[in-house]
Amino acid sequence: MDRRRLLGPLNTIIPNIGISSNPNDIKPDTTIDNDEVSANQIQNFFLKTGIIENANGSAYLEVGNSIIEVSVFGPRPIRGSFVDRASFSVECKFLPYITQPGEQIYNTTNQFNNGNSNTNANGRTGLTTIEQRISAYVETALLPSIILEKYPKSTFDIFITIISTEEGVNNNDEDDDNSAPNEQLLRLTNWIVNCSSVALVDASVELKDIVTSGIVKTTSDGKVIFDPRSQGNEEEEQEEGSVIGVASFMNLRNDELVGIWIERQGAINVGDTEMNNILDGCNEMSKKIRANINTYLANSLE
Amino acid sequence: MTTELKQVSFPPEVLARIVPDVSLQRHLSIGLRPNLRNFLEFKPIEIASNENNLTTSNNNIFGSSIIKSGNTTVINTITLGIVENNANEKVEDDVYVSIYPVVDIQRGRSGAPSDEEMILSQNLFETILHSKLIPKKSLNIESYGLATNEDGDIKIFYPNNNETSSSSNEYEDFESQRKRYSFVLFSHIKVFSKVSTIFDLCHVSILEALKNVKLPRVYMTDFSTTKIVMKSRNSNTRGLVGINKNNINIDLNQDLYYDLELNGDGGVSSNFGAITTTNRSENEDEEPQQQTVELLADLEGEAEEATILSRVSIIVDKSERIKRISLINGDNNSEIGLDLLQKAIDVAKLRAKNV
Repeated sequence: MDRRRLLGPLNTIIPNIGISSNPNDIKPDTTIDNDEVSANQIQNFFLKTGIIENANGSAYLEVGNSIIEVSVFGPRPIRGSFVDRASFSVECKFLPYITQPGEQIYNTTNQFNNGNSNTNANGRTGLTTIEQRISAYVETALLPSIILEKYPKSTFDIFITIISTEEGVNNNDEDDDNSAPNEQLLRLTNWIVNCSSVALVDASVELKDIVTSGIVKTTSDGKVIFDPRSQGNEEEEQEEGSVIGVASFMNLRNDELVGIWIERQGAINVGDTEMNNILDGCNEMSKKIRANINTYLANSLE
Repeated sequence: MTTELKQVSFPPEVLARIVPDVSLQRHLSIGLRPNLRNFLEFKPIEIASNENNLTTSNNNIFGSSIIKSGNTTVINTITLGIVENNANEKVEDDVYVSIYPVVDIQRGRSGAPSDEEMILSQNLFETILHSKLIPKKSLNIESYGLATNEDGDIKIFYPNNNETSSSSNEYEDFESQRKRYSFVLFSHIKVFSKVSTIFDLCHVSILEALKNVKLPRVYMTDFSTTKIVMKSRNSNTRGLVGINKNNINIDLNQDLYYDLELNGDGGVSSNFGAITTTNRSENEDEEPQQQTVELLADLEGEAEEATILSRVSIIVDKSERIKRISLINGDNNSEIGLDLLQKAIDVAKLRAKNV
């Protein structure tokens, strides 16, 4: 029993989210026509820094329906013996009732599962598998960019809060298609990396370069897609052989690759050409995002 | 050997961190507060419109609110639980319940809730309970539906829908042996960029979220939804993984959603602090200096939080009825006496009427 939080009477049942008894209740179609969004365009996003007063730096990003908030705390002193470089940690958390992309795949054996289980999500103490995966990727991607030697005996902590995710992310679909939730997960991770980099800049942490990432999807016929909405009407095309990948780069340091995460539908190996396509696509997208971030940062100096 | 001490001067923001009390006194002596508000001026609160994205895009959120005050943002989401009523218990009209809040303040630390968060949650729980805002009756589940599965086609029947169908007999059987249930309200309050005491903000956020709570209909499933029972190395709940432990479901039909009935408006919470100020006269040499106890509304910032220990928090509703007063005289030199309390109540009443 949790004595630290008010979680209601002991015999409380958390009801399942069922179906609608209204036969006309169909989820509004959020996808846009293919004609409006071209496949090589990047989704529009909104970015703002410095909104959290009690953090050293912060950034807020909205893209589609996703809302990401990143706070950077540090450099903060650590207790104990002397260490000659800073330590760095990342914690990514979804607000408790937000559907996490791919939660039926990854969070099923988790005691914190908030889908169909009987636990009150308010009492969740640790990170879910999905949150751990995102945190691990962001930490890997950002670590090489920070000049840790400049901050002996200190620590940097990044706290990421996901306030909202895309609508209709695996809405209790008993669908066996694993690629859609994976894709949502990677898209979210991509924007989290970009947002966190800007938050580090806002915190005036000494960096080697700003890390930006890109995400692309390659279909089996070799098409490369940037914007998730452009293929919304081609759900059937989520066929075997499509590969989604996120890759993060330091563009000004000779495009140094700092992180890569690839998910593929089916259990086939990713070929060399596909790998090259993904890396090139991600690199191109990361440069476009970097250009946007550069403009934003330059404007905010004025 | 004597060393001459050099006079050091600090910029105001540094002084405020080193000696908050001195910084506060200097501000007050010229009639200003560090946050540049007047003594009895409240910080404005912005309430996002009811049509926010959280409720519409998440099926498990039944009420929500987003409150902003300065840079502080409070996001409140209300979810539902269901509790079985005692079979013999009759719900009286004058029984009231509360909401179960969990406050989560973004402060750059992970782990268990801090004392502040726990105390705040408990305070909010008790305040809502004793303000008699939520009648137990309004959370009662009068009747629930029954879902039947005919060849994969799931249909839900409600007792008040007099549909002539073959399942109606089946439903009656079900009706006669049913248990009684009622809803339980949970609230998750996420606070970003906390700079001042946030009880008032959390209180507003709960009230706003409660106002737009829509309760759904629920239905039971009489068919088994058992999934494949899996055993996992990582799980302690061996053999139970993948099974729905209950068969109570929420009907997502928005047409059947109904408003939660509230008793009164819940009131407006205002907080005050008292501090002794020394009014410096024009002529520096003139003695004695006049000391008065000043009342400050809506404390904010490090200097005020650290220095002002005599505080009063008052909740007044629209009809000027006092719902709650909490008074702590933590500072012997600047106590909140009857006159200051009266003044605070008057201001709180005025504010409640005009909000």
